[in-house]
Amino acid sequence: MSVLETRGISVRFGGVYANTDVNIEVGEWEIVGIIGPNGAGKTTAFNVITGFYRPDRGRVIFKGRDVTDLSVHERVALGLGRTFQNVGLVKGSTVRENLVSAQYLDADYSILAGMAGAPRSFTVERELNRKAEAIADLMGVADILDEYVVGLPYGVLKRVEIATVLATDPEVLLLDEPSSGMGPEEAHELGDSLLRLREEFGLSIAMIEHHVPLVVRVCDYVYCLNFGQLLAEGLPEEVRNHPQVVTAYLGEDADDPALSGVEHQIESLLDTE
Amino acid sequence: MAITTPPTPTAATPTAETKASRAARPFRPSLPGWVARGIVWIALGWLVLVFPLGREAFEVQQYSEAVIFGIIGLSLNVLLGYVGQISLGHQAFVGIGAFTAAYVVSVQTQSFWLGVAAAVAIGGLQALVLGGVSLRITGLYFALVTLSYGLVAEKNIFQIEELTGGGQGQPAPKPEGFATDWRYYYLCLAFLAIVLWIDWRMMRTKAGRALLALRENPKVAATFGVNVKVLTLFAFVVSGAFAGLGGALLAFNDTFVSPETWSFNLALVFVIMTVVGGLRSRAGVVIGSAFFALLGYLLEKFSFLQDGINAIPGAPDLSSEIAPLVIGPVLLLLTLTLFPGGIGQQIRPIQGWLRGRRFDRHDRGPKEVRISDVRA
Repeated sequence: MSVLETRGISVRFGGVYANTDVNIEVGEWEIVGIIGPNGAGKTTAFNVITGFYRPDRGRVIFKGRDVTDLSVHERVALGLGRTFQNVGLVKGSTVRENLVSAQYLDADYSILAGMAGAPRSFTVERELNRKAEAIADLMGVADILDEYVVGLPYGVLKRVEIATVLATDPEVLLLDEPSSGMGPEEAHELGDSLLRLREEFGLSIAMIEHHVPLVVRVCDYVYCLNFGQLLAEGLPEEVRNHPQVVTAYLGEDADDPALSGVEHQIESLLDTE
Repeated sequence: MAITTPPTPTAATPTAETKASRAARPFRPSLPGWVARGIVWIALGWLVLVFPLGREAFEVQQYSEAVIFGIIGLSLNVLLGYVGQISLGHQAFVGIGAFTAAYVVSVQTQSFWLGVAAAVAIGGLQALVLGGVSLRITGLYFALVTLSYGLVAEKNIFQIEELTGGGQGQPAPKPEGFATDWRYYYLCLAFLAIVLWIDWRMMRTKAGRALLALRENPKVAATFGVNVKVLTLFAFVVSGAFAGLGGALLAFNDTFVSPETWSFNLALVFVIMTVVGGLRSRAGVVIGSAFFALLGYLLEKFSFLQDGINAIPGAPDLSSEIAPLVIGPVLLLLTLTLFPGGIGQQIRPIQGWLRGRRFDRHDRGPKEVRISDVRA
């Protein structure tokens, strides 16, 4: 059974069709990859799923419930977590503060009680802090807990961001280019942590990713978008070798049979991206 | 032996050790260190609590005003510092609070406490309305809305005779038990302490963290599960309630409220004192606000300052009314160009030291305090 599903979502910005009839399904315990060239509408689809955009047509179904009309924070409360392409962290705060902030919905006291300094708010705050430390340990960022986000390297920020999303207690994780800014080794480690997260927390993950080895290794299923439309879907190896996907990445000339060793070229190109 | 040993590990080990031991044993001041800190704390306590006892009544009234300005500064700090919206009509918030309190006490003949409560409630209510506007427009446009709100209050609301008592103003007698200026001063201090406590707890709990997140990036705040609209409105209400409280206290401090007090000049002083004090720094904002409240008094008290300025050919006449508006912009320029964190940034090392940490001259706090905070 799918835990997250989009049914024919279409989004139009003026004359640009950012998404046309996109159907994406994420099953329980599944890791789904979304690939496609720049401007293909991948992030738009994420924005529709998380509620930043309202689709012109189509529905978003989360845990069997139509969430198309819910706002972002309501979907977060249901267990939908996401990261951003350009790092969704509070940059003026420390890593610890970010991890505690992300537990907003878990902070089990009213805003007014917190302002009045009710004893309960103090105990809850200590719990939140402990949980932040545990999550930081899990994502390997415990040593930078008290550093300000603003000075940290990009690859580290990506891990901090995943830790922050975990702190919101999600069931489905939407990751927007989680390995960008990482070297091949870091990306490999990231793959390990994603697989571990699924094992330990039973998470389902959808991720937009350009790093093909990572996609092939961790994804159970892959969608490829181009010009806002689904170009191909299937097992990672299938999609990767799909002729239309190849064309989308490399351009029309790749169709030309005169070009020898095209597949080899593609492979090397995609791998280095 | 010494030659064969590679130099790097031996050089690295001690630093690693000191680092580890430093992390294990946090810094504790020595006994003289504690004594020195204690002396400074006592001196500060004396200045705030004991020193006013020996002064004249009219001077103590000035000190009360400084304390109340601290509350107003903290009110504006919620808007400017936490929400990131500039209000150029804050004098109206404060003024309506003052008239509400005076009206409840003088015309409705209710108690002082009810007057203060009404001022707080009305202050929160009017901020709620303006907050609704701010959800749709931000930055410079919002500043213009608040500016016109201030003018509307000045030209219309403050002309309602029933509320303001017309030209001679609305009387606001000091409450029973706090009738002298000295007692009233301590009452103001108590209110400032409450406001400081609320602000402190707010920023240390979920509301404050959510505000910091949404000021920087509302999208990120939303993915933390924060209802951005509701929380923005809430912050406006908090700011308005603080402003209403400040207004009520000002009314009783002067024992009457006049419509002439609440001009646009005052709104400028409020903004300047908050930014110069240092956004998001409670101590800085209170010090900055108190400084601007006392500026005229200090110039009169230390007449050599006045004489010095008068000795400059072509220097402006710094009467107590316009002194803040001449000195303020100069300080504002210095703040924005040299110390974006204002007084709060500069006293940070001292604050850390007073709390029992090392004196760290380079402690500038979070780097994030930028000029772009004032989104105009």
